[in-house]
Amino acid sequence: MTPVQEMEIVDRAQAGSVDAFEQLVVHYQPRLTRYLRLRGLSPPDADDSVQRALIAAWQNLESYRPKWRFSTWLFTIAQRSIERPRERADSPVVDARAAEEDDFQRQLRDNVWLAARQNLEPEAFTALWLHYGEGFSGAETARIMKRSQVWVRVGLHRSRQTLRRLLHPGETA
Amino acid sequence: MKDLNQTDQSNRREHVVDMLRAEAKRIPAPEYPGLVAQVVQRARTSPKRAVGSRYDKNSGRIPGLIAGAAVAAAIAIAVVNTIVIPDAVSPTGDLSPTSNLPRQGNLPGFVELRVDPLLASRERDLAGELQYIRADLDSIGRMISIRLKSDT
Repeated sequence: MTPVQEMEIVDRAQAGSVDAFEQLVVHYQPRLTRYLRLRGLSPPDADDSVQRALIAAWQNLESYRPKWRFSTWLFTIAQRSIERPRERADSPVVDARAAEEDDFQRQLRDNVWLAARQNLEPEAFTALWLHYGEGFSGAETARIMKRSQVWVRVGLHRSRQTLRRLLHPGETA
Repeated sequence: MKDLNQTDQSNRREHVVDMLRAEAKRIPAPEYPGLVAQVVQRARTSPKRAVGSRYDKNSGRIPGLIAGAAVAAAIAIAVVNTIVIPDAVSPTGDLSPTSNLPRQGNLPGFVELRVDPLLASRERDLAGELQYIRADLDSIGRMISIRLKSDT
């Protein structure tokens, strides 16, 4: 889906087309699920959050403005859905253990992102994933996380340093 | 030596970034058609926000912003008056901002057509505020012209 195609679909969905909205859901559900699972949500919680985020997106589609990419807007809603107390109370470590047998977690093993999640603060990990995993710019990442761009830049720098030390243990600086 | 160290660090940074991007692609993005169907089903049954609600949502905000700007302008005018008036006002006081200029006029006709009484009230306040500002600007303009004449 090219950005132009996406804008056309969003326009149709804003005009009330559920079919157009379905195309957006099909396109973004996997990315949102992956993001929430990476944040440490269990499969049922991730499904629940994705569903709530997408329904909220549908109900508030009128408020979307193309100043930002649609994906930025959608991830902002998804981010808000996991900031609620119930989800925030979930510990990523506990979730990872509980879902040890889960296929997703198995595939995550030996991946540098698992090391990142285990060694970074949740917010630092989120910024790292949104920027390098999802390809959002620094400004978009800041927008999604409701943080300043400076905070994102500094956070990314520190996270890279942490990972560099993990990958290159002998490095001093 | 310093350059070599910097190059080395830069390479390691690139290595980390490349690794993050490459490994991200290895993480599966699970497709759940059942979840999609559920969302679409709920979208079909749940009410979407009405088209007119955008206006409703902003209707209180925009006049508020305009009123804020008007107040700021009034303060700026008051400051200018404080500086300019002692030199410019004539002994008769005719050019004072509180002179006999009209302060309140008839409200624009469209205000009366509004259904929302709160919005109509805000617009009425704003219209009154604009009258004050217009009168103040007239006064300033006249004071400036008098000053220019006296300078020449």
